[in-house]
Amino acid sequence: MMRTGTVVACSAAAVLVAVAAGPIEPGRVAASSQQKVLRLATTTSTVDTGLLADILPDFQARCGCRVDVVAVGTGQAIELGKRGDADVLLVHSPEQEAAFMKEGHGIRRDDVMYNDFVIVGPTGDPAGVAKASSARDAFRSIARAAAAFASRGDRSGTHTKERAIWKSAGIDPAEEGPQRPSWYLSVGQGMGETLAFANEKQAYALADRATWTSMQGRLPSLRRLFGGGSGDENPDRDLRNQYSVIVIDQARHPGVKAALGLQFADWLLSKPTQARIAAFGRDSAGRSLFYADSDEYKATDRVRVESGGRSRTFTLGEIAKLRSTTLSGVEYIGVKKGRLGRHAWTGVSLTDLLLALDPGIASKSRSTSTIEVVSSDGWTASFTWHELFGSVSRGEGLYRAKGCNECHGLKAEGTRPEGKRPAPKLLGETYPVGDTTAMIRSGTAQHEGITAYTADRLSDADLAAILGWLARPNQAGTDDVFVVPPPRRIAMLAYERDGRPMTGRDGLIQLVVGFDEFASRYSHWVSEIRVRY
Amino acid sequence: MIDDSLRALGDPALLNIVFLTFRVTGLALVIATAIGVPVGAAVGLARFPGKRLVTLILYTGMGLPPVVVGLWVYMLLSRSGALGSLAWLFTPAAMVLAQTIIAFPLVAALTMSAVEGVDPELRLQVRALGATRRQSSWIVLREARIGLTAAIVAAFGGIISEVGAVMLVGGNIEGHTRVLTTAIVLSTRQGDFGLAMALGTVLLLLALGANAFLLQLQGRAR
Repeated sequence: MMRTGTVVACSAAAVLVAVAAGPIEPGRVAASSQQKVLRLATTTSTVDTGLLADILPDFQARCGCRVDVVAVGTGQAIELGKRGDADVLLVHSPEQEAAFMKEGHGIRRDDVMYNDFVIVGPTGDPAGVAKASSARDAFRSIARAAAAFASRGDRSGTHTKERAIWKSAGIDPAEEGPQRPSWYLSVGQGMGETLAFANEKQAYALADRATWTSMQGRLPSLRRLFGGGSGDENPDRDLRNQYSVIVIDQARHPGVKAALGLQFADWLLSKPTQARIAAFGRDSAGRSLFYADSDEYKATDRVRVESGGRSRTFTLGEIAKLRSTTLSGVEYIGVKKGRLGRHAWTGVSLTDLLLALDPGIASKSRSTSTIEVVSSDGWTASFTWHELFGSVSRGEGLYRAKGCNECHGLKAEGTRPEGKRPAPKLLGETYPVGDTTAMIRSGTAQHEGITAYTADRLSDADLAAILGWLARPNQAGTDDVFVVPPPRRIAMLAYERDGRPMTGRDGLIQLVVGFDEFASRYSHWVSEIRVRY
Repeated sequence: MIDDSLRALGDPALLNIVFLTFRVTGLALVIATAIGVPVGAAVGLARFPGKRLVTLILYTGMGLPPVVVGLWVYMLLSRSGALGSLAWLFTPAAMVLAQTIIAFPLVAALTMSAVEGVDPELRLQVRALGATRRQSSWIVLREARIGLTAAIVAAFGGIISEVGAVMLVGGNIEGHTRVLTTAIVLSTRQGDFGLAMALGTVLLLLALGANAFLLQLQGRAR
């Protein structure tokens, strides 16, 4: 009688034990429980798009280890890192990552890949986002129209980016409390759920392109309204979505597998893995979902030069054998990034390199040529023949040295690239001097998103020289036609910085354009030089 | 949707997920039952000062949000937590621990009310017939078997369908700590609603089977 009594309390459970028989771990894993395990905390997009499932088996085979992927929002992933609960992070929130590194939780942080963000919204586009010229402009029109906006609201990388755009637009709808407008809907969920929500609620949303591309087919009421058809066509460079790998510091968090973490980071940044990342999605989605971005991937130790029907590939060793030039006391300033510091550069002048292949290039008859310096990441810097072999006026030289040509074109002819923000023709056109000066100096109006050219970056005299050249490009006899002496006007392929060879991270072979005391133009990872007629 | 269901069922990874779901839930249920039934019975049968407080705690425990339990277990097992040296975080062991904590109050509280529902006369009668204290407790438990089954069934239902805690402490690692509920969350997040629905159906069928089995046992024991 008592024996039957035991049945109720125990046998139900006992049967479940039968199902649960064996070790806690699934058999397949238990067999290799002695295996090393690397714990990777990452953002949901790398898992949801299928990228990690595609690339990780290769690493697991190489290291003889298992990678446990914990896919959470970037905020949570960083928190896991801070508590030492992950060995490596693969995340996409540069600001949070910088703070994380500053607090000393990581030993290494490297760029891995990037894609970009797009703004999606209802097909009808009530706020007119499709007409916006920049992301902040788009956000402003959403706020003006009080159109529904779905926010991740989960401190993920995408949410952080969204907040930064609102901030730059001078609006803070995410502010807690009664001030929060009713059109701002903070969902507090992942990208997929937020997009599904926006689809149902006819709301706008900021989405990473990879997730959007992979889910697009299931979101019939949503359309991409801002961001262009591909990352290359995205008109707003601020919408770049940068992913980095961080190896957690073992000294700070004992128990973290830093050695394995470093092995993982090296593998992730290596050329074959990067090529795999770059190719991912081409077959299934018809286009790449991520752009490979490691320094190792972009660095090249040879430059192919093509001129006058000849071509030759120079290795770094061969370049170093040519007559070297040194450029020192040059302030390194980027159009987008601002000041980067003062360095001494050693390298070969672009003129010498071209002459070594094609001695005829210096002849006046070739003066209509354009010289293009192409980097392995696709960035192209262009020069006129006069800039390298002839003479340029101070205004014209400064126009390019300060990077105006990046948007307005090599000869200030204006550019209107497909899907990008157009820049008007400047040469020979008439613009009000006061407004133009104010716009350039403050980085506002049409110059929104461009770092302000304050007086320390561009003196009044230099600005006057540029404006003078733009107004009277062919007029001789003025101060503007003062020709900058060759020693102060250098375009070189540098391979040493401050006396030390440059690493892949520094750009390995870097184009530096010196002009007066400034080197405003520079390109990393130069891989090709082409001369066009 | 039928396509998705077939796709889900034909996937060998699903089998892994189903086995893990049962292993974690089963083990948590066994431990919670092994501790919860004696504790619940003891509280139900004994008279002691503070009994009302213990009852209150058990009842409140029944309403513990799983994600809060998950958070506690996470903080406990984190490398910088008290039990960090066990290295249990993001392993099935952590999931079993969290689910045990969720299931325990359910088992204990329902056991307690089941034994309290048994006619006190029965116990006195058995004692009068010369049964030991242990023997009389067994009789009461046997008498309360339907309530006990309900306790186990409720606990089973509570933890097999639970997602917050296992997601937090298990990490939803493919082939390692991914169970049915976290797999459903993942496919929902990926916008694969068809697959999510199919996995939900699988979960429902499994729960149905397990409960039918438990009821069968109860019937046989009668």
